[in-house]
Order: sequence, then structure tokens, then C-alpha cells
Amino acid sequence: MILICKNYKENNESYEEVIDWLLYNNAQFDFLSGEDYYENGKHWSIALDNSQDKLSIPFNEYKSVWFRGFLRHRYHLEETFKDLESTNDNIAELRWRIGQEIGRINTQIFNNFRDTYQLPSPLSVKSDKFSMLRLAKELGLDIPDSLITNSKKELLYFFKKQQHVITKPLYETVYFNDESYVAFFKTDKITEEVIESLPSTFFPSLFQGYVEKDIELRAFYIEEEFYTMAIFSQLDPQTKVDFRNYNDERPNRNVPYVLPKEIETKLKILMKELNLNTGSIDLIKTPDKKYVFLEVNPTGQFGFVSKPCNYYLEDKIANTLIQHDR
Amino acid sequence: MNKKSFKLFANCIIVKGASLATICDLHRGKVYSIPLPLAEFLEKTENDDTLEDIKKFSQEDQETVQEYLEYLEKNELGFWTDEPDRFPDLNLQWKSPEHINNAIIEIEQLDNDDLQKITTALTNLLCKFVEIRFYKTIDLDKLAFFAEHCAKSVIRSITVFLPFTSKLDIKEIEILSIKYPRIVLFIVHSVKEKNTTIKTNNPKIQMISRVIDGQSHCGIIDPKLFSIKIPVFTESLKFNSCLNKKLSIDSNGNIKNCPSMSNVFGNIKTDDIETVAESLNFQKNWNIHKDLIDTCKDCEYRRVCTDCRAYVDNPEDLYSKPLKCGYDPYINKWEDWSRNPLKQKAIKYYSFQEFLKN
Ligand code: SF4
Ligand code: SF4
Repeated sequence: MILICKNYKENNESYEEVIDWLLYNNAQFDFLSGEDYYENGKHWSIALDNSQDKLSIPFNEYKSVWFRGFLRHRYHLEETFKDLESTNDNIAELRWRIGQEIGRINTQIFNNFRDTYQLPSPLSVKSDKFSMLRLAKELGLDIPDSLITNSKKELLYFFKKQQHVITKPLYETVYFNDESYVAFFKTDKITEEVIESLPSTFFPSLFQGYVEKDIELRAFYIEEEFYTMAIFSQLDPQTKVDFRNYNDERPNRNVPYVLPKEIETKLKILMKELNLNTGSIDLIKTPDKKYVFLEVNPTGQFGFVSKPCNYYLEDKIANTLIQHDR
Repeated sequence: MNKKSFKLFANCIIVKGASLATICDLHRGKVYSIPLPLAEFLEKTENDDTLEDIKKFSQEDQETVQEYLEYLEKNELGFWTDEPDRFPDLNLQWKSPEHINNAIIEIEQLDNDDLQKITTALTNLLCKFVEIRFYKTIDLDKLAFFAEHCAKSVIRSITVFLPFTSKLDIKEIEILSIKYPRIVLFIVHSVKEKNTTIKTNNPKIQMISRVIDGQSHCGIIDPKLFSIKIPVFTESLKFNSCLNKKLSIDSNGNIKNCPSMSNVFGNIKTDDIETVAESLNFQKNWNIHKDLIDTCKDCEYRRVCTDCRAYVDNPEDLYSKPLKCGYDPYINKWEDWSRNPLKQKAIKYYSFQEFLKN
């Protein structure tokens, strides 16, 4: 039996298509979500007497786990916080603490999968961007010049050298809003004016030199195989900074691409080191034909690569799960 | 200087016809007509030294080719590269995770027992798209019954054709459209122009004046209906563009490829729908792909055209060209198919004359 770990609240088309292929191949599958543990009022426990998780989930029946997600943190215990009378600081601290606790508990839940094939292992999906870059560099891959600093002076120096600088979160790209504000944790361009407006020390952040693009590449990796797509984001001046601002009239040209063997070999080692058997790898090919590694998204989207390149990744994923479910 | 090749983007694919070619832009959904010699040149040069290749033309032709390449580059259909091998052709494989992809149900005469059988079969066959046709009468309870029994299916969308009659209750339809989100479109047909009594802001409800009171409305070949997409293009290489993985139940409960075709493979009262749908006999027509069809095999639109096997130029011949196509790929002209003298015999055969007058 196959187990699909996901956030019940999140759905998307390419995910649904994997389910279609599982159905078409008569595969047996179940779903599991963090909501089953934290929100649905079910009884469960994990005891250290070697017995398995007692959420009446027959973990030993699952031979193959597809990990897409588990829980969206911001929904935890929303109700509890509503009635709590306390200072904002205390509530923030409380939320953070609870988040940390949940992380540890989840690790124990995921421990149920230890003898199961996992695509990918939920314990491997959390690595941060800087460690990935460090590893990539050690393996001889080109990376953007990267810097974590809290110092205006250092940043200015970095900016002078690089000319173009972006900042991005070390962890995930997210944004959230309240009545009075929107907070972004995302990739953004840093201008001289932005730096001027900073105090002499600020919250430590990751900065990277802007990499000149010929094309952007997305490589979907699954079990030693690469399905790479080239994104011609430079054709259209409207999308020069980040292709996610695409232009509906003339969507960027997305076509199949073959990475040089030597780059694939290094990326394979990188994925092994990160203990990831699947993931979506972002790269940039520069005008002088260097391949610059940016990051890996272990549970990233794949439909936008699969469709324009006719790669049938949905079938590939379903098949991989089925093969290990024997 | 490095040699450079001019290459079309992998999802912009050349299709050569008898006297013209097209570039099917499967990414942005557009078709461009180009001269055959240009198509041949593009195919030859894509991994070559294009500038050298151009030099082989006469002075005058060189300019024309240059102009074309500029046009293609400007319209983002192609690009220059010194690493053509890194940009492979599109994988042209086609497959889909369903036993039946789409179904047409002529629902008027069917009872709830029948509908139950149909929804069970569609669920098991993993059907994705359903078209329900009411020609002359409306019975929304039946529709609700059908939608209700699809709850466990993987059906993505249901489109309903309804006639405009005095009994039509637009409020009821609006309620259904909210209750059953899988019903994505209600097409109310035969709406008289002067009629203004029914109004709705519901985007799922469309009013059209066309009269769709029988099967013979179907099968029109019109470039506006071409589906310029990778799955359609790749499917057409080996399978029929209309009938592949299609299942139809006509008003008498007959199990057919398409309601307009005379071939009956069983009846839902006596036969098991799934068994019929999975039989080789039923699937035979699925394999009539465009390269087997007379005239279409020479047409540069054959990979994006919708096809029709029910109404063809020569009703005796399974491989005959769609009757309701007005295109002649040998002279590259579209004209009104219903006036073509060569088609009059077939038109009479299908007794369309009445229909055409409407
Ligand atoms: S074969 Fe022709 S009549 Fe039948 S469904 Fe297809 S287009 Fe319509
Ligand atoms: S000739 Fe055939 S392929 Fe061409 S447009 Fe007509 S029906 Fe379609």
C-alpha cells in the first residue's frame, strides 16, 4: 500500500494527476496529514516500547510513502490563541515554542516510515539554502557569491563588488498578511537606496550576487534521472528579474533541455549528500555557459516542467511509488 | 565565430501538408502557415550551421529566408543557439490515465436505473469529461440524479446542453450550478433572439440561438475549434482525434462510439458498459488517425484538427474526409462545405438539408 503525506488543504493539478495514474494502475493508496494528528480530534500516542504509532494507522502496511507536505504551521491551535489574553511578545514566543515542539513531534511521527520507501524522506526536506550552497561549492558547482551579514558596511562592500544584489530567505519563501501589514520572505532585488535606508546593523540576512542569465533551468530529479527544462526568461523584458511574474499573453518559452553529464554527476552527488531521492533543482546558465546552482526544492512543483516538455512526470512519480510498493 | 543553428522551440512543431506547412505553437496555442520550402529548410538547418545553409540559396532567396527567420525570432517561435544538441525535440509520446476519457450522454429517454449504470461505469472507467445532451425537453431532476451519482468519480467537468423551452427555470439551473461544481457549463440552446425573459449573471450559464435539437449539429470542422495543445497533437499521431477513449450512450441506451454513428456495440439494458467499452471491437475506430484519412493525411492542420468520423464525404468509406470540413489542403482554401457540389450526395445521405435551412 502507498501512503500519500500531504496537507489536506492544499491541492493542485499535477498532484491530482499522480493520483489519476495510481488509479489507472490499480494501486492501493491512503492519505495522511498533520491534520490527523493535530486538528481532527483523533486519539493517538507513540510509546517507546517499540510498538508503532497508535493512531490506528497500520504503518507496517505501507511500503511506499510519497511526501508532499504535512501541516501548514500557521493554522496550529488558531482557536487557542484567539482567547488568550497576553502580550504580543508572549504570544509570539508561545507560537514559536509550539512550532518547535511540533517539529520534534513530527520527527517522531516520520520515524514510523523508517523501514519504508520514502519519496523523499520528510526528515531531509528541511535543509537551508546556505548549507546547500556550501555543499554545491564543495562539489565544484558554480554558485552565486553569497553572504550572510547583519552589517551595512559589509553589504555595501558586497554591493560595490557585485553591482547587482538580491536577498532571499535561508528557509522557505512565504508571505502572510494581517489587517495592517503584509510580510514577505521572498527573493528581492537590493538597490543602493535600500542599503542607504538600512541601519548600520540589521537582522542578519542572506544576500547573493545577481547572476547574468542566458536561460533559467529547472531540473526535476527523481531516482537518478533528470528531467530538465529551459526557461527563456530573457526574451521578454517584462520577466527579466523573476520569471514568476509571467506575462500571460506571451508566457516564457519552456522547452526540454539536456544538462552536461558532468553537471548531472555533481548534482547527483549533491542530492545523495542531502539524502534526497527527488527534488526540483534551480540553475542558471550564464551567457558564458556556466551552470550556476541556486537551490533545491525537495517538494517543489513539477507540473510546470512536466506539461510543456511532455515529460509525463506524474506517471513517472506514480510508477516509482508503485514499483517500491511490492 | 562559432557556428550557430536556428532552431524552433521544441513545442513549436512543423507539420507539412500537400502545398503548405504549419508551425503548431503548442505552448501558446497558435498555428502559423509557412511555405513548404521554408519548413524543409528549418528541419534541415536546426542542428547545422544555419548561416552557411542560407548561403546555398540564390541571392534573392537568401533575403526571403533571412526575413522569415527574423519573423520567427520576433514572434518567439525560434532562437539561435550554438549548442543545438542541448535542446532536444519534444517527446511525442501520448498516454492518458483513463480507460474512457470523455462521454456523451443523450439523457432525455433514460431512466434513473440507466443513469445509475452509466455513472457507475464512468466512475470505474476513470472518465474525466462528460457531455449531457437534452435536445427537446428538460428534466433537471435527472441531471441532479446524475451529478449526485458521480460523487465518487474522477470526473473533472460536466457540460450540459439544454433547449430553451417555456418550462426552463433559470433559478433551478443556478442552484444546480452551485450545488454541483463539477457541472462547469450549461449551454441553453435554441434561444430565440427576441426572447429577453431569461437573464442570468452566472458565468456557467450560456445562451445561444443555435438550435441543437438532434445529433446532426455535431462534427463541424472549424479552425476556431482547433485545439493547439501537446496532448491533442501527440494523440493525433496514433489515434482518432475525436473518438479515441470516447463513449456515448444514445437516447435508446445504445452503447456507441458517438451518438451520430450507426454502429451499436451493445445496450445498457442488456450489456455491461465497461465490458463493451473495453472490447477490441468497440475500440477499433479509435485507431483511425489522421494519416490514414483521405485528404486529411495531406493537410497541414491534421495534428490540431478535431476530426469527425460520423459525417464523412463518402459514408461507405471509414477513411473518408470529414463532410463538414470546407478546407482543401491542395489549394489551401476554406469554403462553405455545405455548398460544395461534391458533398451533395453525402449531405443527402445524412438528410441534413432540413438542418441546414435553420
Ligand atoms: S464523430 Fe463527429 S458527430 Fe461524432 S462526436 Fe465526433 S465530431 Fe461529433
Ligand atoms: S482536411 Fe482534414 S485535417 Fe484538414 S482541416 Fe479538414 S478535416 Fe481537418
